[in-house]
Amino acid sequence: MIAATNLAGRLATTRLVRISAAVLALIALLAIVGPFLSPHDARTADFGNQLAPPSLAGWHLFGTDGLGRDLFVRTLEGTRLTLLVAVVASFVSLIIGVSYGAIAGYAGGRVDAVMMRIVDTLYAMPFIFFVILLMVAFGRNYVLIFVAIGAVNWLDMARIVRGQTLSLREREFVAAARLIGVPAWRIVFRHITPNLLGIVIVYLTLTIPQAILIESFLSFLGLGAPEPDASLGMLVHDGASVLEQAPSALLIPSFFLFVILLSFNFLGDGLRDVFDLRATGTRR
Amino acid sequence: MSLLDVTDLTIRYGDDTVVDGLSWSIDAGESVGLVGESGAGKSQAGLALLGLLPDKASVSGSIRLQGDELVGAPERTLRTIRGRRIAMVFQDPSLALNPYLTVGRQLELVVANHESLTARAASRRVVDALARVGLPDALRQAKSYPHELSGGMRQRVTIAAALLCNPDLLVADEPTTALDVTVQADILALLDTLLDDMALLLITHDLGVVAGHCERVLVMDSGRLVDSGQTSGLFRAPGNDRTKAMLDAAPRLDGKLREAVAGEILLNTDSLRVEYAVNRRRLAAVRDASLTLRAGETLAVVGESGSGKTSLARAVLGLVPASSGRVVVAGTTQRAELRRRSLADRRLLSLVFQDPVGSLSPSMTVREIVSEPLAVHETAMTPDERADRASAVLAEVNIDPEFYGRYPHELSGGQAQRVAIARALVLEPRVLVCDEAVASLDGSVRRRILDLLEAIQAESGLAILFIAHDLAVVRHIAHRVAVMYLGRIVESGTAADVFEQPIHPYTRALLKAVPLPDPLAPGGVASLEGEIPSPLDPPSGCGFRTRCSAAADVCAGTVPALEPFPDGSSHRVACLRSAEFGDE
Repeated sequence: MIAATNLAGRLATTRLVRISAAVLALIALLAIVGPFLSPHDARTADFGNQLAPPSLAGWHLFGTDGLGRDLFVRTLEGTRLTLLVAVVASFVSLIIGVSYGAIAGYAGGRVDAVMMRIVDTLYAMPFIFFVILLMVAFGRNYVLIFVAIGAVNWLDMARIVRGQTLSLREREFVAAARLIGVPAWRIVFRHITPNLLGIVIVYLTLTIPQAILIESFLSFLGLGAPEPDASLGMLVHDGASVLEQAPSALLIPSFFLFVILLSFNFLGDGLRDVFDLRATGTRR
Repeated sequence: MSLLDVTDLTIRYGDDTVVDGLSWSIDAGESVGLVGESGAGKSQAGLALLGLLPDKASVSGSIRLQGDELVGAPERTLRTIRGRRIAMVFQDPSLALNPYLTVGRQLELVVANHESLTARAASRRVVDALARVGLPDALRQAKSYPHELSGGMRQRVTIAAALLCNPDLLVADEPTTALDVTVQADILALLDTLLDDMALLLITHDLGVVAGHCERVLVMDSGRLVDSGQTSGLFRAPGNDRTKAMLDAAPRLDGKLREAVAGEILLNTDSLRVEYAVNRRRLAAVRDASLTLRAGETLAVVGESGSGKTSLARAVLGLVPASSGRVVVAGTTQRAELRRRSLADRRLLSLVFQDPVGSLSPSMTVREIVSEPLAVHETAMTPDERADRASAVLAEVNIDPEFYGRYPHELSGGQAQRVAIARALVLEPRVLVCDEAVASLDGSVRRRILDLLEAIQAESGLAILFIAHDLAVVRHIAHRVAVMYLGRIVESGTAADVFEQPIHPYTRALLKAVPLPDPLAPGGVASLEGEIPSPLDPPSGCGFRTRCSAAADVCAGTVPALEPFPDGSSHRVACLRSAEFGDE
């Protein structure tokens, strides 16, 4: 009865994690292998076959775009690029954010105050406009996209990690290490950061979709990856302009974007529950 | 007919049976003690009475309260029973109260849940209940928030909350474990006075608490009821090995005391003062503390919370910088701040904490934890040599090799404390500071840890500074004892001096407050009025005078110095009136 519903609830949580992880793995696999399975490539225009609807004939599974390029290959390559941008950018923000936050939190006092005021200052900058200006000045390129997304995301990560570090710093195992004479850098990286792992992983699965959204937004504005490379945001942008002639050109990339975002959000929520359980459940 | 009948109660979490076929009953007005070590299932058995077990627990058997079945009863029925017919008092009063409501308001809400009274009648009932549990000036205290009250007062409030609707049965789950001994004695005395027509189930790990306050005892071990009977009979002739072992491990105030030793002086503090900044004011946690500790000697520093004993230990270690005074370890004067102490100086001292699991890095294995000090100090050693040395020390504290690769949360409290001791000893320090190192452990585990420390000391001549809140715990390991009150040492001397001829009224009160596992002389006598004053506003003159039965006018004027008593002996007392009642 009561016990059964609770068990079902936990199973559902882990099932959610498993399903969303499986969906993401499948999409990633498809994005990597898929393009090789198609006879077409992403760049060759076919002016005799523009805006074709999805069909098995000629193996245009998702149809073609305004230039007659195969949308199956373009969507999967776009997915690949989108995932790559998001994961790399989030990873960069993870490294910077965790180190910055852990150092600020452990150092405390004046160092902490200065470091966190810098974060506040950066928060106050209108990054998207900043990036748009940079792109206009230097042209479109990947590095700028990474910088733009990483610059926004590491700030949140640093704040969260700092808060957590502040409370870990007061724990007795840290006092024990200080007494022994373990150097500060080693306390931060050996004793504190491993205990941040849970919250960081959960937070990471929630920042990746944020990064994807920012990338899509930039792409939709025409500030994403340079042509002829595609990202999902650009495909949505292109699809929107031919909505009446070929709705699939908008719907299919949008659907991919939607499923990816949803899976990451589910994964994050599910992992948060799992880590919560672990935090309270292991000690009786 | 009995008030409550529990038949064949079984509680399972998955495959894990925490309570196994438990049957017992309690009559109206009876007081029963449910005793067991941690993990015995006693708290689970108590929570089951109120239907408060987590959802994932599966409960079978029967719990009948005056004929009404409680196992499997709908939540709606249970809600009418909780508070009204069975009430509960929990261990930690600070967690049981809502920090955002005044205590009066939250007690009024309890009344409103069960009875429809006018606001005025409800608030009168609340003030009455608060007065009944001995809250001074109940009308005013009802308007205070939980954080404005001391731990003892908060526990009184939760007891008042339990009494509001005149329950038939009060379940008290370790109600005094989080409190100081003198406060514990107070609260237990209060529970005694409340027993009229109300029955009491006192759940505790402490046989001493049961001895003085319960008519009947149930002993649990690994989920089963292993022994039961009238308190007097059971204590005299335990029917079971488990009960016998628990009785043996219970703290006592008899048995052999250790003789003073004469080694070289390893630790010396000279007029040590520790201050904290609190809201731009200076709070002196330790004043004028001078101690010496010799090789092979255990010095116990005893005091209640707020006495400054932990601050003293932390200042010795450098975790809190002393604001004045000196710490000399093995002949070298130590810097006040830890970061200014050299690595060579740090090796001389080490610390074992109160919370064994919390003091070990959760993400490191046992072997990594014990070899870390070597990685810092013995840079010439190869990793293999470090691992060997760590294993050797772990073997010394009786940790099996199968545990070397485990993480702290996979260890029991006693094992974790052994690992913490191994980490503290791996650098072969001269002085070991134990800050309440056994306070969180059960009787038999506690005894084994103390025996281990004693054995290590006998072998290596280690000096141990043992911080504790309980005189009974230190009785059989301390060579010398210092009693602290409000930041000052009020009495010090050999174990024989302090335990057999206590002079300071505070030391005497502490000794009387220790609950003993003896139904004929149960101890646990509350003999102190009120609570320890705030160190921000210490009384003038003698710090203890506000609670001292022997206080006279002279006590308000002068701070008593710690002086030999009688002259020339090693027994020192800080009391202006010691000459008058010292030889009673």
